[in-house]
Amino acid sequence: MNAFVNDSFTVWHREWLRFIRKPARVVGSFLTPLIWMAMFGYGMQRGLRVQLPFPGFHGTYLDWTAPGIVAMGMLFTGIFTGMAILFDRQFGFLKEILVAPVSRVSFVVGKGLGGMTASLVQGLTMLVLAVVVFRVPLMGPFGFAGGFLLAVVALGLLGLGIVNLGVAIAARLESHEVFMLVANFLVMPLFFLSGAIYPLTNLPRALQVVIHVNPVHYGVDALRWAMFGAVGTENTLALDIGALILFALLTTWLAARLFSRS
Amino acid sequence: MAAIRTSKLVKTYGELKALDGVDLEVQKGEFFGLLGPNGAGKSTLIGVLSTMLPATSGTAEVAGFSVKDQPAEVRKRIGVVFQDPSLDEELTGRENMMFHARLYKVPRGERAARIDELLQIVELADRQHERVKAYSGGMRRRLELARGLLHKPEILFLDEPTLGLDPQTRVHIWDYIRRLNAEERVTIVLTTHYMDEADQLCHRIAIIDKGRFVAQGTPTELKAQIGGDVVYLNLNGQTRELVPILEGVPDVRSVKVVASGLQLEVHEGGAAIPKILDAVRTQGAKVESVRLQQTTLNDVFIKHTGREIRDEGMDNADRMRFYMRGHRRR
Repeated sequence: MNAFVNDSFTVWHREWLRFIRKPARVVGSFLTPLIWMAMFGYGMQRGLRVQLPFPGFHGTYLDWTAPGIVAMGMLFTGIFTGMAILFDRQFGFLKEILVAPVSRVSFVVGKGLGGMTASLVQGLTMLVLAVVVFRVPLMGPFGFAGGFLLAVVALGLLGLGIVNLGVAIAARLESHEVFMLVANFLVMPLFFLSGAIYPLTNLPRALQVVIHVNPVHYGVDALRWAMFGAVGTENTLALDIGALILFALLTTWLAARLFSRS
Repeated sequence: MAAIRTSKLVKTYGELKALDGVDLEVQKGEFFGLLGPNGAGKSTLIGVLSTMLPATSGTAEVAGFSVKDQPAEVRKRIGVVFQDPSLDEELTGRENMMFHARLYKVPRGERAARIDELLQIVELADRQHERVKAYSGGMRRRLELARGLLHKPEILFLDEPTLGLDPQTRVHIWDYIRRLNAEERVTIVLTTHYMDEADQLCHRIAIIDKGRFVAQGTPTELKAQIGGDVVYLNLNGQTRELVPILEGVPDVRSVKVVASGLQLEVHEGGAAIPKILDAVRTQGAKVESVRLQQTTLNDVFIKHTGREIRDEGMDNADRMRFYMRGHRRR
C-alpha cells in the first residue's frame, strides 16, 4: 500500500511538473471556453431571447450555460490529456516505467490524478473568470464558499473520469492520429448531449434517456447546484455526485485494466 | 550462483524467430558481452530478460527469479539502459533521476547524495537543472547510464550504451562500470558494436546470429579457436629451408611460404616471436623484418556470422537516429 501511494505520487508529480512547464497550454485551455461564453452564451441570450423552462430562475441564459461551457473545456482538454500516454510511448519514456518495479495500476492512478489536477486548475480558473468577468452568480444554497467547494468536488470527479477515459482509449492505440479520430468522435456527442447548452425538460423521451447515461450531464448539473441550487437544475444533488463517483471509479478501473493488458 | 539462466528460450514474431532456442548462463559478477549483427536477436534477448517481452517458450531466470512468474522481483534487481532514448524531455536531468530514485525506492536519505555522485561521474552536474530537451545525444546517453546505476542493480543490462559517445566519455564510463563490476560484483550484460570494447571489458562473450548462439567463450578462447595470430617473416635468403625447422618450434601451428617470405600461424604472437627468432638465428639466417598480425574479435565475428559488424553497425535507421540526435541539440 505504501509503495502504491509512493509510485502514484511519483507519477503524479511528474505530470504536475510537465503541466506547469507549459504555461501557454494552461492559458489556451481556458481561453477557448471563455470565448465560447462570450460569443455563444451572450449571443444566444441576446439574439434569440432564450426562455429557460425554470420558473423562478432569475439568471440569464449566459448564467445558466456557463457551467456547461466550463464542463466543455474540461471535456476537451481532459480527453487529450489521456493522449499523453501515446507520446510517452512514442518518445520511449514509457519503457522507463514499464521496466520499473511498479504496478501498472499505480501508474494509471498517478496519471489519472495528474490529469485531474490539471483539469481542476483549468476548470476552477474558468469558473472564477465566469464569475468575475461575466458576473455569473455563485450563490447556491451553500453560499459562495460552500458552492466553490462543491464545484471543486464536481469538477475533480468529472475531470478524473474524463482523463481516465482518454487513458483507456490511448491504452490500446499506437498512433495519436487514430486517437484524435476516436476522441473527436466521442467528444462531440458527450458535449451536445449533456444538457450543457439546452435543458432536457422539453426534449423527446429517447433523447432524455441518452442524456441520462452521459456522465458529463451529471457534472454540469452538479456545477449548477453549486451556482444556483435547486432552481435551474434537473437532478437531485445526491444523484449527480453519486453518478460522478461511479463514473470516476469505472473509468479508473477500465483504464487500469486496458493499460495492464497492453 | 548463476545471475542469469535461460533454457531453450524462443521468441517468435509471426513467422520470424527472433530467438531460436537460447541456452545462456551468466555467473554472478561476470561481465558478459553479447555480440551480433543487427536483427540477430540481441535486443529481443535483453527484452525478455528484463521482463519487457514475454517469451514464446522456454524459461529464463534472472537474479534467481523467473521472468514470467515473478517479474516484480526481477525488476527490483535489474537496471536497464535501452538502446533507444527513454528520458522525459520536459523534465530536467535531475528530475529524471529523482523520478527514477523514487520509483526504485532508493532510501530518501540517500537519494540526493547518490544523484550528485552519479551526475558527477557522467559529467552532467553542471547541466543538471536544464531540461533534457536541451541535451545533446551524448549527454542523454550519459544521463540514461547514470539513471540505470542509481538503484544499485544486481544485474545491469546495457544495450549499446556507448553508441554515439565521444572516445573520452566512453573511457570514463567504462572505467566506472568496470569498477562497479569489480568492487560491487555487479553482473553486467552488454551489447555493443565496438569490438575493442567487448574485447577489453568482457570476461565472456557470446556471438548471436539469427536468434542462435553461434560461439561462446572468453575473448582469448574465441580468438584461439579461429587460429590465433599470424607472424610474417621477411628473410634474407634460405626461406624454404627454414620451413621444417620453424614447424618444430613450440607455439607454431603451421608455416607457409608466401611472396614476401614466410607466414606462420602461431598460438600467441607476443610469446612466439622470440622463439621463432631464436630458431632462425641458430640456422644462421638473417631476418629483415617481422610483422605480427593479431587476431581480433572482429575476425572471430566475421568467421561466425559471415558479416562485418562495422558494416552492420550503423544501418540507415541508426544513422538517421544519430543524425537527428545531433540536430536536436541545437
